[in-house]
Amino acid sequence: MSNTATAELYEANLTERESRVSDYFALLKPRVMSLVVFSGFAGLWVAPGLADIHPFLIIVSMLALAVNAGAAGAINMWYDRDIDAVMNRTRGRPIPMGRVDADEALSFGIVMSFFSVLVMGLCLNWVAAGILAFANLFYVVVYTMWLKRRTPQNIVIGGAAGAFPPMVGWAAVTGDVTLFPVILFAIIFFWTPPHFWALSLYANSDYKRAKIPMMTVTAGAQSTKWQMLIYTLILFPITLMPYMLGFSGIVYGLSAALLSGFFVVTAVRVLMSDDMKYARLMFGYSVFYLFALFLAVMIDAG
Amino acid sequence: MPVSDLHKQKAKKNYAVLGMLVAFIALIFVVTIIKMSYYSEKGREMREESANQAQVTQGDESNSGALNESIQEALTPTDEPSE
Repeated sequence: MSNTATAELYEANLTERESRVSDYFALLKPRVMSLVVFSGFAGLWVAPGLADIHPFLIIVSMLALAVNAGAAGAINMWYDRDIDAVMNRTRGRPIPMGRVDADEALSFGIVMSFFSVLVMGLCLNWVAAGILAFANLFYVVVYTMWLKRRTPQNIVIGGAAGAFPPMVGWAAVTGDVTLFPVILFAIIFFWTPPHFWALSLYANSDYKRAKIPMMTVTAGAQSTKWQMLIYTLILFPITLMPYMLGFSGIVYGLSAALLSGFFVVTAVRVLMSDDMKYARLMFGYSVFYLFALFLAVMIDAG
Repeated sequence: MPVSDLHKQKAKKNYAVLGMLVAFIALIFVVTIIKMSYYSEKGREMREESANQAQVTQGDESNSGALNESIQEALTPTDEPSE
């Protein structure tokens, strides 16, 4: 479908039907939100002093984290509505489909961002609320508005936005940030490029059509595959740091070694083959990998 | 006054926003109540604990004082001749 045709479809859809609650829920990027909440909860779980916090406040703070991540996603969808409409992967989103008005998506995102930060601050502390607000602004301004359409390093730098949740969780309990949450931040930060580039390998035509300078578009598949491998190799020792520095025990140490080892194997498989099947497998495994890694951190912390 | 579909849609959205505002106010109310009761209870427990700790420390100090005195007495030579 040409860009003009897609734009016409977008205009036509605008008046087709009224928005539903499910459309607003879709604006929050629920799948991304689940990973954010899980890693944020892991940061909260391993922080010392969790037992001193009322369970209701913990639940509300996790809700605030989820809503904040979703709100940033809604603003991202508002800003990227033109490119979302031309990409197969994203053209089914509420704004390109005309199910939610763009201006409403923007106000929904801004209001939700504001209230989620306020709730986090009132429920637990303003250090956590400050990091939450910074992560939101980083994702919207630095990644979405600045880097995404300008540089192939977009998701490398922008990946920091998705790495903040464990830090927010930790700060929510302790009111500060120490080395352990910084390591958890680093794990997500170095995990993001291979995770995202695996996706962009098999969605390359989409990114080309939308003129987004993803690494696969600007440097080609082979160079991207090498860089993915390098990032997985860097990630390997970083995931072992919590064990080596004594923050986590042997359960986590062994899990991290196995999971990260296999992540390297998936990157090697992607490098050795032109079959996009392996890139899809690596993308799927990368999601499981992060869940499993943070689950191991939590189990180990008891 | 004729009510069009647009009016109905707007009314639905307004009610949704009203519902969210009420939910937010209720949430802040509940959080405030919890923080007031839970943390005042925690604070009371902590004060009691520190008071107990202080008593134990004072007790230790007085015990060690008595011990010191008895040691001093034992070491001090008396004027009485030994048999």
